[in-house]
Amino acid sequence: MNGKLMIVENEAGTRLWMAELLRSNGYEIREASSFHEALRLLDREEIDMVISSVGMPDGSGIELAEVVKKRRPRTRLALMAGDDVEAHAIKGIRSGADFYLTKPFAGVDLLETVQNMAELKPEAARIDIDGARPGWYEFVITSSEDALIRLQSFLNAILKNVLDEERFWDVHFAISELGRNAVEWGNRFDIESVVKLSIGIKDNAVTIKIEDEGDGFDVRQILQTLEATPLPELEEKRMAESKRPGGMGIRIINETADRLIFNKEGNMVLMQFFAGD
Amino acid sequence: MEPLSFQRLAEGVRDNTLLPSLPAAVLAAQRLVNNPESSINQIASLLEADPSMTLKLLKVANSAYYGMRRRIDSIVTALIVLGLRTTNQLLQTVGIISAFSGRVEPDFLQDLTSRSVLVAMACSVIADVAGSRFNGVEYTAGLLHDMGHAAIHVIAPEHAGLLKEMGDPFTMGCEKEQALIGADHCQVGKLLAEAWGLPDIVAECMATHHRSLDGDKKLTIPGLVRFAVYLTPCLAREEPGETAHVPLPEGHFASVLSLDDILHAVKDRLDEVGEIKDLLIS
Ligand SMILES: [Fe+2]
Repeated sequence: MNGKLMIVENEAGTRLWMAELLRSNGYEIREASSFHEALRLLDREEIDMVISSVGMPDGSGIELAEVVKKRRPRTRLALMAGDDVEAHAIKGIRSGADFYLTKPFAGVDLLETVQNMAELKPEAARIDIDGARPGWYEFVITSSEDALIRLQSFLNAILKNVLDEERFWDVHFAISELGRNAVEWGNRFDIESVVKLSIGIKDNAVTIKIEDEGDGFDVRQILQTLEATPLPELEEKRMAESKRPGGMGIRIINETADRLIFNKEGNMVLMQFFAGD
Repeated sequence: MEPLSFQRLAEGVRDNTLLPSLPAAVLAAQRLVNNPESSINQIASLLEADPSMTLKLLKVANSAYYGMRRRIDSIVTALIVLGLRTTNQLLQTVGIISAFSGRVEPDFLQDLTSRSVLVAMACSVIADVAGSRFNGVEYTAGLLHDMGHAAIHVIAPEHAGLLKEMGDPFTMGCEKEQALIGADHCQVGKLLAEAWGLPDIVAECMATHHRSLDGDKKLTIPGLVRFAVYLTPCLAREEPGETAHVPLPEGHFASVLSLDDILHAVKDRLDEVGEIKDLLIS
């Protein structure tokens, strides 16, 4: 049921650890220790999912992604690499890879990525790169949580490269929260519509713009209500109304972001985070 | 009045005391924005070094169209709000306005830039609707297509004055221009393009934008500019809708597209651009 998954990793220790963890979680595992071994395995067997290291002595995971997606588009593929090269993430998206796992990662991250791969509906999770300059990227994604999760896996590599861990989680949370807002409330899960997400990284500041195609919402009213209510009280109130703590997301971002600006329509948000002091 | 000879035109466009050059700062910025290797750091630093450019980008990013509630006060946030494509288009528009301002009458410049931005926007919207990507060259071509008019004003103001007396210089057509002053703005535009060292494809658009649409079976940049120019009267009207009066030759690339869609898409863009243009010209 869980499908056949191939791990492509030249570093034996990592590969064995991954294989063991995934096997114990019910996946059927194939191991390849090089780019070429991966190609041979792909020729011989039907593989449902691939998780491949980007940098290997005899070829790159990005190249492998291109081959896999061309030969058998239904095969899911995740790349794994360090956070040191911003370009890897962008090339990864262009290669058609589905997810990106930033090294080093914990077992739980690996399991989550593999699960995301298994559950992915690719037709509802398109990512287009509208513009790309070092430090400045413009993405257009399908209005779906899948697309957002996919994009975030690639963005994480870029963000981890410039932010310390605490700040990284602030930004990650903000993108998840406001990205989901755009998908759910802005575009109402209509996969015909898109969410535009731009990110700029200059010096020590990360600037993010998220824009949906919806009619927007009254941001001022929300922020005023939120600011008038202390967080714990707000949490209780939302629980009592059995609402998901959505408004709290904005409230938290309002506190962690250095700048939070909405447009008048309430369908575009701009956030800025400064890295450290 | 003597007819405008080719020699006088050719000397005129080459005389750099007469005709402006494209502002170096804008050219550099455009080159930087167009280069996929340029980082946001480099782009922002270059723009920040030009206070008037910075001010203009901030003005537009803070404009009612973008509708930001709090002030955007840094060039990086302005760039992210505007996006790569719009930034590039703004730089070009600012460039062409500042090239001619002070050299031709403000009213004329305003008319010319309004029309040019309209055509440029139409080109980029139609290219989108048709699913073609020309990497922004279509905007440049649309923006510059009629600059021959401006060049005539600078090189031969008395001839330009005569044209103005005899009707609307933008709609009178090349034949009437030829008959009146011995030259037309398409010819002059081509010379200008050569003097400015513009790409051949842009020069071609400046020279051929009033030709017939008959040969435009496939979507090309010159064909796109011709089509956008052809649509200008509809675009300038308040209500689009009525498309019956824009007949197209058989097999024209746009006959498979919905003219209504195109006109509405362009109108939408123009609502934003109208305001942006005012901000830039002021
Ligand atoms: Fe013209």
